[in-house]
Amino acid sequence: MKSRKKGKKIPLTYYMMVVPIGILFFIFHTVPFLRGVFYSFTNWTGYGSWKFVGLKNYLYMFGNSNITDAYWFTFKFALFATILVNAIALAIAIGLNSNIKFQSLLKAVYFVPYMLGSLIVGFVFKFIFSNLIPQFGHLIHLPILYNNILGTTHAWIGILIVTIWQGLAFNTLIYLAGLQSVDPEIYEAAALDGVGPWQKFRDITFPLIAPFFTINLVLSVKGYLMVFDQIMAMTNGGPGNSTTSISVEIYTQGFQGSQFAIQSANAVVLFIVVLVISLIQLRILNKREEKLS
Amino acid sequence: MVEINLKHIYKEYDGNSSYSVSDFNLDIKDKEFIVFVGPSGCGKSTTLRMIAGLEDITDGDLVMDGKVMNDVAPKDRDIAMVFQNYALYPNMTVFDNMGFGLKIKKMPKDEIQKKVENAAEILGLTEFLQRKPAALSGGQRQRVALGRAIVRNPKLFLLDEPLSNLDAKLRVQMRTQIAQLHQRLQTNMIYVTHDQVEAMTMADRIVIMNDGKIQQVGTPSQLYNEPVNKFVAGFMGSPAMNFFDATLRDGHVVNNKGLNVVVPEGRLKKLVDQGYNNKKLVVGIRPEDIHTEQVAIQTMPDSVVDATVVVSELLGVDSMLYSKTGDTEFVAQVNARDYHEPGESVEMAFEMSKAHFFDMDTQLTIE
Repeated sequence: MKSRKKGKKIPLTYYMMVVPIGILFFIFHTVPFLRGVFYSFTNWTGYGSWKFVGLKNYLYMFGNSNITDAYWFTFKFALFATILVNAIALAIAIGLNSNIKFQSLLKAVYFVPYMLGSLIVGFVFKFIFSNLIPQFGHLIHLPILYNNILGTTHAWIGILIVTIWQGLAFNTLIYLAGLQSVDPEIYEAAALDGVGPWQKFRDITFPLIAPFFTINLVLSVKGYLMVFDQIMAMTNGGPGNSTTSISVEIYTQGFQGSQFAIQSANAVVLFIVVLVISLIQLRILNKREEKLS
Repeated sequence: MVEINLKHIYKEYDGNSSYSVSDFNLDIKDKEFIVFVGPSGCGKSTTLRMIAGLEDITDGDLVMDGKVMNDVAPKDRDIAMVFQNYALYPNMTVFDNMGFGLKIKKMPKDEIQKKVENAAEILGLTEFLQRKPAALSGGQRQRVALGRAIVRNPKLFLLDEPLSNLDAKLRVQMRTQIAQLHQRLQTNMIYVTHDQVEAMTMADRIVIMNDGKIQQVGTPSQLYNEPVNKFVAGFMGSPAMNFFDATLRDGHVVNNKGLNVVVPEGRLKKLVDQGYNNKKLVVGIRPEDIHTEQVAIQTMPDSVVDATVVVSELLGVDSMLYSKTGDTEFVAQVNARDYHEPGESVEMAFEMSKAHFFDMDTQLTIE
């Protein structure tokens, strides 16, 4: 900024790189978002004429049980997915960071799910849940496995399993990076201090990788509050509406149920919810880190 | 307060064909300050880490007070270690860093408080107790690391190049502080360094290592004045000893590049008796045993060379004359009053009674 005030010329390359991206971002991201905000104050159904209705859509949302159910489901799902993914990813990262054989191979293996598209993974698991597991259940005579879990009231657990399986990769990677940033001499000092494994984790490892924990937690919560692909691939929100997340609700009702304006309002609310939760998390966790470093 | 015996200790790393430490034998007496010194990769840190229990011992026995410790966990060896990079817990205050080991041992809080405060006072850390390591200077961090070792009141202190990250002035300060600490605590210390000055100034006994093997064990003056081989002679002392490949002929050591000095009677007889007459050998002479004062030149007329000063460094008390006689290069450390400009021709006397002679092949000192 200072240099600009002094009249120093900004190189042309800067504009060539920044301006096209800025324009594209504005056209494909900012404009649709603002249009969405705009339509959320109308009664547009996706076609035909419309008029402004003020906050009616927002008020309607809170009275619509489909939408409130979607919120409860999404919060439940995000809570479980975040906790489980982070707990398991941290455990795997600690395992991968210790002196084990085939370390690089295992790292690659754990990272594979991240490279697959969630839709593909969803379809593959749909097949596994609907065909392979029931067959296997019959083979070993375990009645609990006879039914396709995606067709039961526990369908959300099926989705949770797939989400965790896929989400682990990224979180593990981040935790691993965190663990590798810790000076091994600190652990040697701890060994001489007689620190046990649990104390070592609680008093040394975890505090030292706290910034990585923050990143993972914020990204996980944000991602799982917007869960969509896996559900579309596996249950389409069903059975009934039992696995309809907010994003799924927005998509299905907005584009197929002529609730374009209402679901636009819903999208705005989801945006605000994610934003607020993320900011709160950052606030709390950063304060924690500050205390530690 | 412990007696330590290292018996035929070997260390071999997986995938390495040679031993990183081989046949290490050493008996350490109660209260001794031992320094392991040697160039990088000589196995000194590895040996220390084996004593700490941070590395497995491939072969041999580590005995402390008569008990074999090879398979005892580090925490049960009653030792404390100070690391090169301090290894402080970054998330804890200075107080917690020092007290953590005691807390783990379930020592009562008031006792921890007393011990930590006591150690902090010895080390001048009292005002920093509530700070995190990140808010401390290098020297302060190192003192915290020392404090963490002190509060545990161990039988043995292990210090792995503790001063190598500090600047020169601080290093000298901390050197004194550690020496004082040793006198005060009367606890065995094993100190690893690659700096021979640290070794000379701090040690009761020095263990000098190269290529995983002990070269010599002895007091600083023994190592300095009676090195057993060319490596020890060259490593101890700064600037290093001058070495010349030469031949013993007619009572002189000569090389064909301008060196020709007389060997004193007594030394000559020993060399001749051992069959080195007309044979090649290595002559070593310390820079401070080469003189430029008139008195010396007059008393040692047979070992005076005509030298040309190439580079001249004034160090305050002394000056270093990087010189040449013919094509033979050497360093002379002379009184600063004898300062000479580069390019000057100067007569220099080699005090050959203080010279060292080494076998060309074995590199061992010829007694």
